[in-house]
Amino acid sequence: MKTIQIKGVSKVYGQTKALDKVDITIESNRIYGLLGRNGAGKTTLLNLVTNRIFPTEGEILIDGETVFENDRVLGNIFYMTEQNLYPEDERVRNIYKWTKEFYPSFDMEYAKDLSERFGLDTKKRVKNLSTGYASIFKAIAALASNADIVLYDEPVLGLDANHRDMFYKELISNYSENPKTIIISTHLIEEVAPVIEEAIIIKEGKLILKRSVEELLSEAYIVSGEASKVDEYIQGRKCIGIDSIGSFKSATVLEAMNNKDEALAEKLELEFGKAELQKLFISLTN
Amino acid sequence: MNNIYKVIKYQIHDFWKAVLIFYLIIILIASAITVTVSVNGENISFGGLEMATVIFLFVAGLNCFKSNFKFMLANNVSRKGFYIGNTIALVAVSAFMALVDAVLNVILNNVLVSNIPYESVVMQLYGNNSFFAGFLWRFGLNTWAVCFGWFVTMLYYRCNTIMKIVVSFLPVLAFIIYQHVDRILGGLADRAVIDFLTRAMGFAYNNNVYIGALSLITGSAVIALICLLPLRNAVAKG
Amino acid sequence: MLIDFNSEKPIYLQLAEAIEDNILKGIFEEETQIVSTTEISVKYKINPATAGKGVNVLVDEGILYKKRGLGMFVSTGAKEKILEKRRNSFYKEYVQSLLEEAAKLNISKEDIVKMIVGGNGIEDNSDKGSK
Repeated sequence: MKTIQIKGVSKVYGQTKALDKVDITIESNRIYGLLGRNGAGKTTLLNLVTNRIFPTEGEILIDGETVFENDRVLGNIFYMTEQNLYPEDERVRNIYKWTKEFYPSFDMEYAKDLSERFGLDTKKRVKNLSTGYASIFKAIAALASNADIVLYDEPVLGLDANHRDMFYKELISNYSENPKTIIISTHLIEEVAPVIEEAIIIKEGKLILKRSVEELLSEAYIVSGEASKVDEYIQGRKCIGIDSIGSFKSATVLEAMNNKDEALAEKLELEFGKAELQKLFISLTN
Repeated sequence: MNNIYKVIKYQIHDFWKAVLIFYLIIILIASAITVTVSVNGENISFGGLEMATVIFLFVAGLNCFKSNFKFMLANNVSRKGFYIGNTIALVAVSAFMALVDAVLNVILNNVLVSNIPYESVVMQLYGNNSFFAGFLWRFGLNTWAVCFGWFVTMLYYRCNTIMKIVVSFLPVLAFIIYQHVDRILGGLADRAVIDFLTRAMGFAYNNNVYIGALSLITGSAVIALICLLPLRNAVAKG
Repeated sequence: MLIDFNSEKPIYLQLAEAIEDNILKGIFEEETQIVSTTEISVKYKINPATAGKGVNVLVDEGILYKKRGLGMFVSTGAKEKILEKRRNSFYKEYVQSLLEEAAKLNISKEDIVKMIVGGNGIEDNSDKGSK
């Protein structure tokens, strides 16, 4: 079982506190979404978990062992970074070969198969890959790694819609067949919402929320209909987002779904709908 | 510590092609020179091919770090693992090239016709052509060069732009200050330095190659240890 | 099988219903295997746990059962179970809302009966099959 414990971790750069006393427990065999605005500290957190940088205070443990300079424990984690750390002159297929050296469970056949399906020419050198294909190649390495813990930092950056679709499908398929611990750090909240089980939201270096998506979404709902009628309904209720087109309005209400006033909605001819995780996220991180 | 072995493997994979090409060129040059000399039949002596090895290794040391370290980080190798693996790889390459050079020395001295006198650096400095002594000394110099190259690249890696400029000027500045100090001391500093070098390199002790080799090896170890400092907190850059 | 991500109804419940629909339609026959949770989760790009939850709802109701090492199978009598379940909620889900809507539009109960028997003046649609 591979669990990650982030205990009281802070990271300070000069005058800036990139992370402030973050406490998170990541349980095994789950897909987590690490969500936050630009500069919130998501990448810093992932870098700390993988010994790329060191915490100013606190510690990070995997199954009780510290990650600090710990080759054994680190060998169980694969980290797909936004940054390119791969040698520019090396060919993709050689990088797969070396990845297999360091990650013995790396599935070379699967990597080759994925490369073909994504249209990635493995003879190409890293420096000659487009932005999209640079992401694809790193994503394939992560998918084929078969590590117990796989971290993805903005995995679909630069990918076209078809490739994004393929990526999520592969991720889900691989996860379903071989359960592992996955953390996806991304801006594309709506896209990733049905895929993740728990959302971890970071704001300005602090952890503000770690909840299952299902729970989160059960605490809000959308009410929509004619603008003035919607206004009447939301009177006295906490409203975290409004969209209107002409006289049609839809409002995201922050209230348990179970508490919605069906009778009132019927009277006002309003409809209910599921809240968007993104709207919740925006209201939480503004 | 399985990872150390993998790091060694990767580092050597990175070097070996360059080493191969290097020796092909050396052999080409050596052949070209011997042909020229035997054709002209003049009393020219040539030698010191192993200095090329030293320069090659210094450059290898300069290149062993940046891209390789980042790739090791990408594969979640610890800095400790990288350090040990890299050190072993560098020492191995130094030893290998020292061996090849020693063999080349024998070939150039004996296999070729005797009117083409080849004098290795070791021969020129110590007048000693023993295979083992020569190998050891070359190994010392090689290791020293490669570690120094590594040290320089690590220094630059850890420096930001301003620091890089400062560090680049430092040796020049140090030298100027040294000259000044030396003048004030009436040549005492110069004599102290020369004295130290003569002793360390074994010239003072009846041209003892072994002492020279030992000093060089010790010097390399010191530099390699110094390299540990900037590595401990190094992060992926650029 | 279509899933509406914006519907209030949780995805896993929609899935359970969709599987039931397929059983009723005969797409998943009794004592045969249904599509795996992996396939479901991949097709809809949802977390496998969600797919699993939907399937488990039906397992709890005895509509599906798990064969070790093979996957999920449709139980014998599943069709009947589903039909009964739906018959029981038919009134609440369809008739009640029908009556409410009709009341809004001032359509009398007699008119409704006429529509059911003879259609809205157009051809009789009552043999188009149930949903």
